[in-house]
Amino acid sequence: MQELKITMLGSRNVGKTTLLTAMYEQFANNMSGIDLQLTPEEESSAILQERLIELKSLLNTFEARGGIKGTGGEPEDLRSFLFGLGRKGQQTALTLNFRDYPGGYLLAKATPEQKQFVKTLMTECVAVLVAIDAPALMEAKGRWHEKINRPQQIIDKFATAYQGLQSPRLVILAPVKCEKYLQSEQLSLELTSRIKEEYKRLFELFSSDPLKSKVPVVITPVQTVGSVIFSRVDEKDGEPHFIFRKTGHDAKYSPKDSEQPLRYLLRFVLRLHIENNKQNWEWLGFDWNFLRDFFGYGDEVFINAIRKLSKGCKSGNGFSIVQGHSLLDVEA
Amino acid sequence: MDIYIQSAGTSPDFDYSWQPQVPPLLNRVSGLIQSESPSLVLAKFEDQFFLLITGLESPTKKDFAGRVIRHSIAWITEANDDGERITRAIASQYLQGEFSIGDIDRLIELGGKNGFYFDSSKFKELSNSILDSLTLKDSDNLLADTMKIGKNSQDLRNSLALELQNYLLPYNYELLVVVTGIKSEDSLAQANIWRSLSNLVKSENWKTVSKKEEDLSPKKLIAAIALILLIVAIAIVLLTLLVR
Repeated sequence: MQELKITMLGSRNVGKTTLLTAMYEQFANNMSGIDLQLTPEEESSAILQERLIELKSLLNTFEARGGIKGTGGEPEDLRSFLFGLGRKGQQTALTLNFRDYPGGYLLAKATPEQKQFVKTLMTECVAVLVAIDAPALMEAKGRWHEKINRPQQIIDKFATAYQGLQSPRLVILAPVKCEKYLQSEQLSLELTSRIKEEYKRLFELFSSDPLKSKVPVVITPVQTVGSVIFSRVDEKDGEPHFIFRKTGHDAKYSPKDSEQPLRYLLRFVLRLHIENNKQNWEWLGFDWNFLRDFFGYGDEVFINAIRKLSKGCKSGNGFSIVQGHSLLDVEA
Repeated sequence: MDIYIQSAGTSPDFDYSWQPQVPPLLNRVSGLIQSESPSLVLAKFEDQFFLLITGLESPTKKDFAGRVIRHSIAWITEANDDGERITRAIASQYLQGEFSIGDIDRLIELGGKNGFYFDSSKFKELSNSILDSLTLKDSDNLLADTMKIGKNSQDLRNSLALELQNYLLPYNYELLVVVTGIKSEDSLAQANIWRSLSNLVKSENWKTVSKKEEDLSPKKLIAAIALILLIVAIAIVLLTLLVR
């Protein structure tokens, strides 16, 4: 069975694991009418459930601090989150392997093994989700952006990994903790503008001739908890402490748009899967796919799924496909 | 005895790291546990005991985002009587819930070039004091060959702690004890662990697991075929000689 690897890119505590948890949690709630199911294997399911409980417990105090458990460990300890993807009620058609790792691996002081681990992941993974801490990007004129989001390291990782790239790769920029910045059109425009400004070199890299036809890039802001909003930054011993508050005393966990990155991701991986299937039926210089369609082994279900996923993808108000639209859709 | 600590600093600049270095035997056991949850591994590799305790949540230390910092400790001792006694004592105390996280936390200071630091000799003193606080018996365990698995409950942790206090460790296992949060029953059962407990195992009581035989590797298979061919060849030669 085809396995596709996906990874997160982001510094310590930016919210990589939280993004994965929220994406999965919201999948079932927001994908009605699409004949797809995403089934986590036993350990992945139990760990994501544990993280979800931690995420919900952030709402136990009015002034929320903290977050879910930070990921720690050496490269050989790190787990994969495995999901089977296929039609509802049918066998899995492909496996999605999400790789998580500690944000400290991006630091200059990371060990050679840790640096190599990230480099290999970036080379192997068909999709990369870049988690961006939105308050660090937006508040105090971006004073904490470098320290928290480490944009230079992110840009350097892509520049190294995508040298001589042969096959398509999806890059999703997912600003997280965006509750405050999606309250009005003006604020969401500011968010997009800050991303384009701070990651200018990254966009220039992706739009270069060798990459522009291979790397679709999207921006999908996520309201990670929904009911917790950025309040202020306290500075202590030169370190920023971001404080969030609940929108009301009875506010409940209600993430918004956390399924959006997954929609783009599924569009892309299903398209790759269809392309792969097609190639498997091209022998001796002939395209035998008509036989596959005739006997009912075609990919019509996945083609329909891509179309439905596309319809649910938001645009405007902070959401945009920066480039590579054609690599996310199927021909009409 | 060598002590290794994994922890993190407060600043975004200091993520989790092992000091003074990654424990040499860690990669042989790390895949068996959910390391961010409270877990224990006791193993014997060649001439060394390896004891690992992870997921100890600091009662006082938090990172810049307000997240509780977790500590992990690894002990590597020689596989002699003293090494065995100290690892049995520490593991037993941890499993009974009598391991003082506060004592550990006080020995780990925030700051320094790695975000945290500690004095290894203080950890050795603490380890010896744990040994002194327990009365260990050194009987042979008649049931040592039986592999068992169960749910990670306080009842089974207590039962395992008593076994560690009363009996010598079995000599024919590398992986002796694994206690962890989320790890599937299948993956633990296949790892040939003398005693394993996980939150994903449903059985509230100890359940016997049969030992997994080593897969026949291609090299061993070729050697076996070569041996059979040799025996057949010798038999043919002998038969030929007898017939003449």
